[in-house]
Parts: sequence; C-alpha cells; structure tokens
Amino acid sequence: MTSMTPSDRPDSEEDGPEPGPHSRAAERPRYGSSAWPVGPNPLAGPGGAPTGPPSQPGPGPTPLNLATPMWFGPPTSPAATSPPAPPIPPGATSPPIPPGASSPGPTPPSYGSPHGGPSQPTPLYGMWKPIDIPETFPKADPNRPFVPGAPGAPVTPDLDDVPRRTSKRSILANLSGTILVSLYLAFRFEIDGNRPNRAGQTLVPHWVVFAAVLPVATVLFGIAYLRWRNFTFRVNQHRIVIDRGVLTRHHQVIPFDRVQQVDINRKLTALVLGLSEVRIDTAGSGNETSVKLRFLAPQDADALRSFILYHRDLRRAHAQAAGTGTATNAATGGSAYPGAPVSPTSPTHLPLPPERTLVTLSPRQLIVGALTHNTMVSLIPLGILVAVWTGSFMAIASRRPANSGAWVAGGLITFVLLLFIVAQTLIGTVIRHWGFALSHQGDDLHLRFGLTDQRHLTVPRRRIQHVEVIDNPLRRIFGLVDLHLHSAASTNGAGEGKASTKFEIPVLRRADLAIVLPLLLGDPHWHIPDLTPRPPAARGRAIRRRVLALVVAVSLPAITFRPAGLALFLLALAGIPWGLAAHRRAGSAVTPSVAVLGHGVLHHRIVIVPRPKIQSARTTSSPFQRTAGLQTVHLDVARSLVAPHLFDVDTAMADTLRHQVMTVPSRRAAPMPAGPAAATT
Amino acid sequence: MQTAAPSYTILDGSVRQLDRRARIDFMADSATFLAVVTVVAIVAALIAKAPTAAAFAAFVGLVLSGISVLMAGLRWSRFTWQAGPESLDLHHGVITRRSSSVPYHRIQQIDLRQRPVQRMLGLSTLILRTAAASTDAELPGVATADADALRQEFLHRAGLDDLDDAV
Repeated sequence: MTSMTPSDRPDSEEDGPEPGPHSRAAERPRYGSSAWPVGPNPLAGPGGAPTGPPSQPGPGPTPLNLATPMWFGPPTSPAATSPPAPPIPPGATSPPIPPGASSPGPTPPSYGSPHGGPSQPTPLYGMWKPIDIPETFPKADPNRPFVPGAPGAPVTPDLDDVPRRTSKRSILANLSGTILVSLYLAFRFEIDGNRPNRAGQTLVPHWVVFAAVLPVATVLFGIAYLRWRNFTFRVNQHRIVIDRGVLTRHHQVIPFDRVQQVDINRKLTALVLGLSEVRIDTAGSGNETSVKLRFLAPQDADALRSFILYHRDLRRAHAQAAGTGTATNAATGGSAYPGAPVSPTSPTHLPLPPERTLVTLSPRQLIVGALTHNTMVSLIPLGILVAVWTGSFMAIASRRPANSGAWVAGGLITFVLLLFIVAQTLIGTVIRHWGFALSHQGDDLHLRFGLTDQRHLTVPRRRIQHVEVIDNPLRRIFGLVDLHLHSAASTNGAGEGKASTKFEIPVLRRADLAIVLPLLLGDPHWHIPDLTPRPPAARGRAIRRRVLALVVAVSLPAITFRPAGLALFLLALAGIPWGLAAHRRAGSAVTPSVAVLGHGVLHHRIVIVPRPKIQSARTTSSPFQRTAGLQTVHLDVARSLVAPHLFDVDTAMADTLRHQVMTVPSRRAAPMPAGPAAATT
Repeated sequence: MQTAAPSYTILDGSVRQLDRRARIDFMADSATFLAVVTVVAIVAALIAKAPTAAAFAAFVGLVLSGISVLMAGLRWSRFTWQAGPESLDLHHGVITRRSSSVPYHRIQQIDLRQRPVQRMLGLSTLILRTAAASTDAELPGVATADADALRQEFLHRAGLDDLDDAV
C-alpha cells in the first residue's frame, strides 16, 4: 500500500481564501462534511431510508437485535453485496488520491452529505490511515482493503482495527526539550571550555564535548525511538486500544461509551512540527483515565476525533433503538441528535447534524475581555492593601514612624507587582484564547482557541457538571460576563490548568447568555430564574463578617501608625455597604431542571447546577449560624474540588434545597434544541 | 425505587443512631493522641527532674482527656441517620452540624473499613461513595454483623446495574 505523503492530502491547516469545496469548513473532516459515512446513498438525502444491511436478506428495514448487532457481525464482502457505486458528482473536486492509496479494495466511494450538499469523494479513513504505518508493520494485513465497505453497507468492526503508530515526527517532538537543553549545554561547553586560561591551555577540548554529547544524544534518541516504536493504537467502531511501553507494557482499552471528552491540542513544539496531540478523557481521576496520542498529523487527529464521536453516538442510538429495557447504553441519556432514529429499525448510519458556531471572539474582544478580567478588578483593593502592609512592615523594620522612603518603596514594590500581574493576565489571556470559537454539533460542544498552544476541545453537553456565569463591576458596566463550564473529565485531562476541568468562554455579552445558556442546558426556553433572597438574618451576618474582616485587615497598619493610623479603622465601615451588596446579590432558586446559587459582590457568580448532576447535598451550620437560624448549603457534583455552596440560607430553605434536588424528575438529559442560533459577540 | 418493602429492618426509614459500642471507639479515637502526648510530656518532665511540671502535664492531660471523652459521647449522640425511601440522610457534628442527603441511585461504590479498635469492638465503618468527592456519607459505627447486609441492601437500592452512566 502506497503511503500518502502529507502534501498529498487536503491540508486543513492551510488557511487561504480558496473557493468551493476546498474552503476550510468543507475540508475539515467533521460530521457535517462528507468525509464520513453519513448516509447510505448520497442521492437518498437526509431522510433516505437505509437499505437493509446487505447480509440480511429480505426487503425493508431489519429490526435491530442488540445481542448480535449487525455491526458486530463479520465483515460483509463488498463485492458480493454492494449496490452499484454512487456516481461521483461531476462538479465535486476530489482531493488527489494517488493510485493505489487505498488498493487493493475498490475505489473509495463517495459519501453524500446528509444535507444534500455536494459529495466529496474523500477516502474515509484514508485521511489518517496510511501515514506512518508501512506495510511492514507486524500485525497489519496489507491485503485488507482500507475502505469502508460498500456504500450503505454497515461499517464493519474489523474493517480496520489495525495497529497504527503515531507520526514519526513525534520522536522529534518528544525530544524537543532534551535537544534544546543538550544543544545549549554543548554550546556553553564549546565557548567556556575552549577559552584558554592564564596558562594558555584550553580546559575542555573539542573532542571531549563531542565525546560527551554524542553517546548521551544517541541513548536519548534511542529511548525516544523505542517509545515511539512500542506505542501503537487500534481503533474499531467500539473502542480504542492502546499498547505502549518499552519495558513495562501497558494495554489500555477505552470503550467509546465512556469517552467524556476528546481534545486536540497543539502546543508550540507540535505546531512547529505540524503535529497534533489527541487526548481522550474518560471520567475519573487517575492517570489511566486519559489517553494521549502524541502526535498525529493534524488531519489525522481531526479524523480520529470525528470517528470516535461518530461511533460513540451511533452506539448510543443503537442502544436506544434496542429499547430502554436492556439499559446498558440506554442510561446514557437522550438522543444525541434531534433527528436521530430511535425506532427499532435503527439504521446503521446517523444523519449528522451540522456544526453551528455560537460564539467567536475577535482579538479586540479578547483584549477587552482581558482588560476587564476579574484579576484586574481585584488588583485595585489588593494593591492598596499590599501597599499599606508593606509600608507598615518597613516602618516596623526600620523602627521609624512612617517615613516617605518606606512609602515610596512599598508603593514601588506594589506597582511593579501590579504591572507584572496586569501584563501577564493581559498577554496570557489573549494568547491563550486567540481565535476563540465555540460551536455545537448535535450534543457536542466544540471549543477552539489558542495561539501558541492550540486547543480543540470537544465536550459532550451532557457531561457538563455545572456552569458559572461570572461578572465584576467593570464587566457589569460594559454588559459582559464570562462563562465557566465544568466537565467531568479527569483532572489531569484537558482543562485550563493542570488541576482543573474548567472551560472558559472568556468574555460574552450578557445578552448572548439567552442564546448560549439554553443550548448548554438543553432547554430552549431556559433563562436565569429570579433568585430567592436569603432571610433578613443573613444581612446582619453579612455586614458583621465583612466589618470584622476589614478590621483585621487594617489592624496592623492602624496600630503601627497610631494615632493617625487609627483613622484606618474607619475603613471598616465600608463593610456595611459591602455586606448590604453581598446580601442583595445572593440568593438561590430551584427549577425542575436546575438548582441556581448566586453570590459575591466584586466577583458575582451565578452557579447553575443541572439537577441530574447533583450527586448529593449537604447542609452545615456553625454555632454562629445556628443562633441566627441559618445554614450553608453544599451541592456535591462530580470532579469539583469545592462543591457549589451558598452561605446563610434559612433552615427551611436549606432543607428544601437539600431534599428537592434529590428528586430528579428525569435522569435523562433533553436533546439539544435545534433552533437556529448564532451569536457572534 | 423498586424496593417496595425494605428487606433489612435497620433500613426501615426510622431515625437511627450508631451502634452503642461506637462511643468507645470514638473515645479511643480522640483520647489516644492525647494520652500519648501526655505520657511523653510526663516522662520528659520526670527526666528533666521537674516533678511539678510532670504533675501539671498529668493534670492538663486528664482534663483534656475528660473533655475529649465528653466530646466523643456528644459526637455519638449527635449522630443520627435515616434510610429514607429515596436517599440516606445523615445528621451529625457537635460544633458545626452537618446534614447530608445521598440518593441511592447516585451511589457508585460502597466501602467497609475497620480500624483496629473497631475490630476489637466488632464494628465497621460503612462509606457510600458517589461521583462527587465531596459527598459526606459515612456511617462510622455499624455492627460488623450487620455491615455486610447493609452493604448488600444499599447496593440493591442503588440499582447498580442501572448506574451505567451516572456521571
């Protein structure tokens, strides 16, 4: 089998104003595009009834039998049963397929777009198959046709399932850090070592440097090569299998049912080398719950991601079609697709929904978002506090009352600190979220962002554990919020930080919440409910607590600089409006679908927890709270370090919250509403 | 829930307390550390030939142990639990009071644990785990004789065959 060189394949990374099917959207292998077997016949259109699987005789749709689903069966011979190959529309531009790329099977058939678009005769997995696995690969069968059977035929499981390796360039990518370090060391040795000393001798001759670097480099490269060589992955319709390890072998099986999330990351090294990392996350916290494929060619990574998501949804549709009685997959929730077939005559292909863009952020918007970021707002009070404390510490240390020098030094330190944080936040936010785009496709959310580290996260909507709408005074002026989505993927999986499963829409117009939130929560009419305020007893407590905190915060400077400094205690009076505002902004609401908690003054956040995601609920009360008849409510959700909670709810409300959220009306999530929605902030 | 009639009498929905022997376990739990510290302090004081200090340490140790024993008793008496039709409810805590509701269908895993003192007393700790790490559902003193039956019953109520995709 001839391997396609990367340049032969349509390169989705090339961003150019090419017209027609070569536009970026058309070539990116997504469900909506024609790269996947989305319909039995391109002429049948989206509603086209599938012809029964060829292996099953008799006209009409065949009832699905879950015990022996057709896609578990042996591969059917395409030659024996295939209907005539559909004609390739003459207008369609086909990417160049080198002869023999998919031989010895039949010519790669074209797959019609389910939406009646022009079909594009792209080989199905040809996109990512032939890249690095030569015919000499131990387990690969070179005689196996690498084409998805005849059109209309069920995609058979052992059609593929051939061990593959990652891109060869990943050896380089994995070694990049080491290479840079050793180059630097060698360079230093060359320069420092060859500088003659006073006696005129060179310390380290050239050959020593080479003698030191060469074996080390060889060993490192050898290890990297062995690791690459021993890493293989196999994919079929149900699962991905990873075999890895040089000395200790690891064998990992991830059924697609369990996939929480599929991400594509392109860090700087990978970007330079033209590679992508695919990360598959399942629920859990250990290392073994997330699998990284480092690295694949970008189009291969995209194809693999689409493949996994497609077959995950296909399995779910099958399970549903088989009836909820058998339960295993039926419990996985609602249909992923509004138009998904749920009758017992479930076809072997899903009509695939198009991808809809919800939010895109331009650089200007990102800068606005960074400038109004929470960090910026916290900086002002924090800066003042730090300056005052630094000043008082210096006064204490120098045993002199507040002199101007101490204040200047304190101010300067604070200013530099602030500047550093501002620059870091501003640049960091913009670079991290560069080119941000949020879209949804059926039940999956896609987030694409990043300048140096490009990410493409795919989060099934049903896996979102809770959503936070956050704003601050600055953002309230401009009518902006940011939105945090918390998923249940493993903590060391793809998130913003290392210990986070949070995804962020960095800036969003408040008005657009009306479009985005209903999609996230699966209810077209969803809106943030009015929050029930906390009882009056909570107001007094809110004020008292804040006044006390302020007294503590200013105590040291106030006592240091007495008597004038004692005026600082007046600052504690700010606790009164602060507490009042805190009380005004806090509240809770329970609707049939979600529990909503709101609190915070500077960073006001509204936490929306879908009730099916609440694992358990708790209330706690300190002695102080009990004297006021108040409690704190905690809603436990998966993979959250701190459970969403609300202080100082009255006992009756707390008990209601604790019990109401337990009675979930339905454990199934509603399907994603199919309304045409596109908000461009 | 398919369980029309609870098959195990402890789970009949009434408010229950922990096994009485758990008090001893709680006391041992809180007093052990204090006792060790006190003994070390006394020995150190005796070595340093400061009998007054030793007496003082002994006195403080005794008082603190008395308080901790009292707290352990309170901790036991404040701990109530109730296996309702849908969820397990716990109420406990001496200074900070905690109430917690764990619906059976959220149970992912049930642990049984025995500390040495518990083994001597014939007690077990039953821990219900959900997908959320912050869930608080621990029965820190049920008779070992009952523990397995309890575990079975909770598993049954959890309907773990139907819990394929709770996350």
